[in-house]
Amino acid sequence: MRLQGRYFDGTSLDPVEVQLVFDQGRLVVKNMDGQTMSAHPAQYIVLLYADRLGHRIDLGISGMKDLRLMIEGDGVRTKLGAHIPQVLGPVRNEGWASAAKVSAFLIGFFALLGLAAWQLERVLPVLVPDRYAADLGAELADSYKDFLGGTCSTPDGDAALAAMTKRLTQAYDTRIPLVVSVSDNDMVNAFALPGGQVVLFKGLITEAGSAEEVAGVLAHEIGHVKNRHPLRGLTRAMGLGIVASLISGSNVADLTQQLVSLGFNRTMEREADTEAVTILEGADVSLEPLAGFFERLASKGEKDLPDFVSFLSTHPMSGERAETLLSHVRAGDHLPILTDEEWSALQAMCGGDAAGQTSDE
Amino acid sequence: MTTPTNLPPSGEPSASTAETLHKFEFTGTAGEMVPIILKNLLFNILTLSLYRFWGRTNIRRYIWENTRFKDDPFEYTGTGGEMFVGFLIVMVAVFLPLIGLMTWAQTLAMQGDITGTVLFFVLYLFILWLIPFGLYRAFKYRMSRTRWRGVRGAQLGSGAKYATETFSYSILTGLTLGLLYPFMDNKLYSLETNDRRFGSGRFSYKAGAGTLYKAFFVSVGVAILASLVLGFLGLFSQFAKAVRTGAQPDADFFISVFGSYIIFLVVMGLAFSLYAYAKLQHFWNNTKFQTAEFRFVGTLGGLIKLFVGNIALTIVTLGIAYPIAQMRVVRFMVENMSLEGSLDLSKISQSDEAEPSFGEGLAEGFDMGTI
Repeated sequence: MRLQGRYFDGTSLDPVEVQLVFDQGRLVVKNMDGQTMSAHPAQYIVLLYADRLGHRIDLGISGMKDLRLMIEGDGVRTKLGAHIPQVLGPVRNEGWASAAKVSAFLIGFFALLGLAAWQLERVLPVLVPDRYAADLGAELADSYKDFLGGTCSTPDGDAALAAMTKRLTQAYDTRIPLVVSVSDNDMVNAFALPGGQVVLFKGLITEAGSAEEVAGVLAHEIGHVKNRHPLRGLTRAMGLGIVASLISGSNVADLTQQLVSLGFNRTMEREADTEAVTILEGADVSLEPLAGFFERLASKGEKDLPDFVSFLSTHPMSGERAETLLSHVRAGDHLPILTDEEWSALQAMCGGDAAGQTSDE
Repeated sequence: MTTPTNLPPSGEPSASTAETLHKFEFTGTAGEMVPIILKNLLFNILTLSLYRFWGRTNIRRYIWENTRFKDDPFEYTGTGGEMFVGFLIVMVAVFLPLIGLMTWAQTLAMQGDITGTVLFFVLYLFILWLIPFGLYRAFKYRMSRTRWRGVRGAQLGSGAKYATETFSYSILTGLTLGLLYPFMDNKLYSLETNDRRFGSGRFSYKAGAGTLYKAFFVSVGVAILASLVLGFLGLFSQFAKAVRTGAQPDADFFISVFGSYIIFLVVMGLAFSLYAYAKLQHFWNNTKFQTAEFRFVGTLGGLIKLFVGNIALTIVTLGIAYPIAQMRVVRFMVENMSLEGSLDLSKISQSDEAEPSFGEGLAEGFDMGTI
C-alpha cells in the first residue's frame, strides 16, 4: 500500500506533500524524497473525518493534538481500513455504542446523586441551629398567613391553648420551644413548621367533638416538631430540587417553589402518631377521642380533602390510624384536658359563636 | 504572541498569497442532519435530557466538518464530557451559592430587613453581569475547539472585561431610551473581533457606528410608523366602533384585531431584519483576517427568507428541528461571505493561547440559544 497525502503539524497552514506506507504495524510518513518523517503505531491512529464516498479521510494521532494527515484518492478509506480497522468505524470511534455507554453512566451518576439528596434530610437538619430554624419557621408561618388566613387571638382563647400545650408538654421534653397558633381557616387541618411552629386551623377546632380531639391532633404535630420533620421535609424538597435543576439546567424560580412544599412522608406520619400516643398517655389524656376523630374522617372519605402541606395529605389512611390508636387505649379515668369554659373560649377564638358547638356533630 | 509582521513578503508573493479569492463552502444537508437529531432525541429521553451535551457536540461536529475553506473541512474537537463537567462545575461553584444567597436575601427582605432587599438587588445585577461573562466563556471554548488543518482558533481577552462593558453599555442604552444601542453593538463586536485569532493569525475590525445609526433610525421609524398606523387606524377604529355602536364584538371584530396584530408582528420583524442586515453588512465588510478582507454579499431578501424559514421550521417541529435552523444560519453566512485579498497561510502557525479545559457551563446554565 502506498498513498499520497498532506501533512500538517501546526507549524504552518501550508501543506507538506507526503507519501504514506504501512510497515510492520505502523503508518510511516515519508516526504517526497522518500525520507521518513514520522511513524505511528496503528492503534494510535484516529479517524477524524471521512467524506461520503470514502475518497478522502483525515487522520489524527492520539497524544499529538496538532498533527493531521489528509489523504485523498479512490477508496482510500477501504485501502487503509485493511490495515487500520478503526478507519472503517465511526469518526473518533464514537458511534452508537459510545452514546449508549455515556447514557448508562449519566443514568447511574444521577441515580446516585438523587439518592444522596434523599439522604440529605437525615444529616442536614441536625446541623441547622435551633435559632435559625425558629427564624425560618416564624418566617414561613408569616408568609402562609396571606393565603391561609390570619391568626386568631382572644385573651381567654390564648390562655386555653397555652393550658392545653402546657399539659401536653409537661411530661414530654421537645427541646424545641413550641409556638402554637390558630389560623382563621375553615379547613379541618393542622401543620408544623421548622422551629416549633404549630398551626391549627379554625375548621379543626370547630369540627372537633371535644377538646381531647384537638389535643390529639396537637400531640401529633408536637411529635413532628420533636423529630424535626418540618426541617427534614424542607431539606429533602431542596435536595431533590437541586438534583432536578441539575438535570434540567438551572432554574432558580423552580427551586424557590420547592422550598414551599414541605410535605411529610408516611414514615414521618407514623413516627408522629407514635409520639402522639406517648404524649397523650404521659399527659393522661384519653386516646379514644382522637381515634374517633380519625374514624369520622375515614367515614367522610379523604378524597375531598385539600392536598396541602398538611396534617392530612400524605397521612396513613385514617381508618388504619384509628385502629392503631384504639389498640393503645387503656381502660380507666382520664383528666379532661380543658375545662368547659376553656374549651368554649378556644372554639370562640376566631369570633364564631362557641355555644352549641360542643355537641357531637 | 503573534507573528511580528503579517504583511506578505515584499517583492515575490508565495503561491498562497497569489490567490485573491479564498473560497468558503458549506456541504451539509437537512437530510443528513435528521438521523443525528433523532439519535440525540432518543438518548436525551433515556437520560432525562442529560445527553444534551453530547447531542450538541454531535450537531456541532456535523456543522463544522461540512464547512470548508479552500476545500479542507473545519473540525470541532470539543467533547460532551468537557461540556458536562463545565456545567457541573458552574452548578456547584456558581449557581448553588447564588441560589443560597438569593434565598437568604429573600428571607431577610421578607422579615423587613433592608439589607435583604439591597443584597437581592445586588445579586440580580450580578446575574445580569454573569450572562455576558458566560457568553464570552462560551466563545472562548468554541474557538479553542475549532480547528482547520490542525491549527486551532482562540478567543483572547477577558470575559470579565466583556461582561463589564456589556453591562455598562446596556445600562447606558436603557438610560438613553435605546439611542446608544447601535454604538453598543459596534463596541462589543469590535471587542470580540479584535481578540479573535486563528492560530497566530489575527482578526481585526475597525469602523465607527455611523452606518449602523442610519439603519437603526430607519428600523425604528418603520416600527413606530407601523405601531401608529395599525394602532390608531386598525385597532382603535375597531374599538371605537364597538364602543360607539355598543354592539357585542363579533367575528369581524376579532378577525381585524387578530389581523392587525399579525401585520404588526410582520412589520416589526421587517424592521428588525433591516437592522440585522445592516449590521451583517457593516460588520463583515469591515472585518479582516490578517491582510485579507471579508465581504458580505447576502441580500435582505435572503436574510428575511432565512428568518421566516427558521421560525416556521422550529414552530412546526416543536423545536426538534432547531439544529437544522442553526445549520441554515451557518450555511447562509458561509454562502454569502467571501475572503478577498492576499493571505499568506505559510505564516500562520499554531495558537500559543492556552485552551480552556472545560466548556460553556455558564452559557448552558443560563440556557443561551447558541449552536
